[in-house]
Amino acid sequence: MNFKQSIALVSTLCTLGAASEALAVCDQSGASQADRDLWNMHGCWQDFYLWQYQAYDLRSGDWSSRGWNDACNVALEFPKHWNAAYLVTYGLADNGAQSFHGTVDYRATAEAASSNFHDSLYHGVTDDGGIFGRFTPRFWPWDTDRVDTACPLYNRTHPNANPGSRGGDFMHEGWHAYFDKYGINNGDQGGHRAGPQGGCTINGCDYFYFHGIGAYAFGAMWENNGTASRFHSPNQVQVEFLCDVADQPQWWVPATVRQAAAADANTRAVTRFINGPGYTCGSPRPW
Amino acid sequence: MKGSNRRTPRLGAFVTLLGMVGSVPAFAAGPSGSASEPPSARQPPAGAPSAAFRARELHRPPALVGSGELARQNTRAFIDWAGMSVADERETARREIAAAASNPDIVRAVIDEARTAKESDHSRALVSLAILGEMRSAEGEKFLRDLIQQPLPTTGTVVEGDLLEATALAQLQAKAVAGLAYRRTRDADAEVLRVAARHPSKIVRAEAISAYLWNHGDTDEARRALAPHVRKDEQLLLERVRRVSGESAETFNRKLAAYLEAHPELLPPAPEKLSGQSRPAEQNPHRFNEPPPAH
Repeated sequence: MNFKQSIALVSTLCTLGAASEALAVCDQSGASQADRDLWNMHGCWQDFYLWQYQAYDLRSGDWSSRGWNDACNVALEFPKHWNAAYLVTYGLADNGAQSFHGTVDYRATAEAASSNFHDSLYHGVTDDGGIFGRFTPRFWPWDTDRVDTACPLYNRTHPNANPGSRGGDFMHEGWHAYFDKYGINNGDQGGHRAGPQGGCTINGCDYFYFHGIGAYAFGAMWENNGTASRFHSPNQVQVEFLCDVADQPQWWVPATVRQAAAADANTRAVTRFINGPGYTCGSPRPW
Repeated sequence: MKGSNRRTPRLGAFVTLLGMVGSVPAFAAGPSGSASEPPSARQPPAGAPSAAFRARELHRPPALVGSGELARQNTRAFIDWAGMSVADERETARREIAAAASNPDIVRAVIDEARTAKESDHSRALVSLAILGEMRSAEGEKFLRDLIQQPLPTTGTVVEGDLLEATALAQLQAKAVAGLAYRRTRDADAEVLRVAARHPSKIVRAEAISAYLWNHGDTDEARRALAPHVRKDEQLLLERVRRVSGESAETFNRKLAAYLEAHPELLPPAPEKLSGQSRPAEQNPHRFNEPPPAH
């Protein structure tokens, strides 16, 4: 719970809950082709979204004007959120010889349940246009950590408004929750290091902790030994997820989703790492 | 990003506490009401995707043929199909694209789709540019060159310190330079080298370097030819590790080990622990652990 949320909550109470509809400013006019292509693979699967809202601890009050009661309308934020969760849950090949990590790692990072990866968290949504996502740690013991995803992941004309990038942000913010659980100091620029510096071109940089394929058994991405030899940063987890979507997906993951994931991964790899670039993924052949 | 100020939760929680006096049951249910009503749909939802997967017919792209308006319609249908296509259909798509590359109406229609999608749908623009690059046509090359030379926007939506519109265009320009490198002609290569040296975006320069090397067999000779064109502070991009789809873990790990051995300066410092702050133990851990429905 942070100050802005609290103000919003008090305001909502004062207006008997009438304010939430007016607050939504994300573009709800449609979805990117990548979102629609993945959507067409499941056609709005009821059993999944009824599972997903619990697994990600989505709360109706946060999503009421964003498709909570219109869950099959892919123009809205909640359907786009669970579309990305569908990709995370089923979309990876889990190839032990080629994938960086397994579905079990990416699910545990993204989902709400308390585990070795992070304490409990819940997923909200924000109209903040200046961020992709945000992790807000709890203050009171009875509070819960919160991951918000923002309009640039939902507005269909924006480059990150696709299921892979949205899922990638679940990883990024989930890894801030991991740092919080283990008391890691990754810098004071929104949980990152000041920049530009080294290979990083923005203010908000990470290190890349290079590791080979198979260095982490599936399910062991959370492990660290307190040194740089066994560790991950938020942008690194995000890039490795995006690379696994691009290069090691299930057979049915559409080309738009794979190509958008590769573009996001390769952009992030050359702009976010002090000791970068990270790996390049996807093929340089156009098709 | 992480909520950057640890004081705001303290202040926020205090304000909330004041605001919630008399509403203890609601607070106990969580800030937004964790005891949510389930979501619902207005349209009839679907069953498990497996049946639809089994029914799907692969390797049946729409014909990429025709002239005039028919060419435009067929191109739109093909891009729709290509976007949905799966990895196993890659060669099917390549054959269809190669066969259409000599049809100027189709090439122009793909260019029109790329131009339209650039403003409205980034993922569709990427697919359109990929098709155009795969075509290796002279008219397509002209469009790719023009796109690469478009100036990056200097105003727009700033997200986490990055200008979204500039990043979006740079990603498309990176896709365009991959297409240009795939032409594998002397003129196209000269432009790729120019981009590797002087494009204002690192995203595009990095892709130009990667695509040039890949299209020249990733050889030492190609690396030597490219090196004088690459900025001094970006020479590392010449040696960057590429994960190739299908390669074994041993092959990739060997490349990575050699890369790190040659560049010990890339090893990051040890992670730092926070000092003087203890995190309160959570009182109400989220207990939902049902497996996802069978796919």
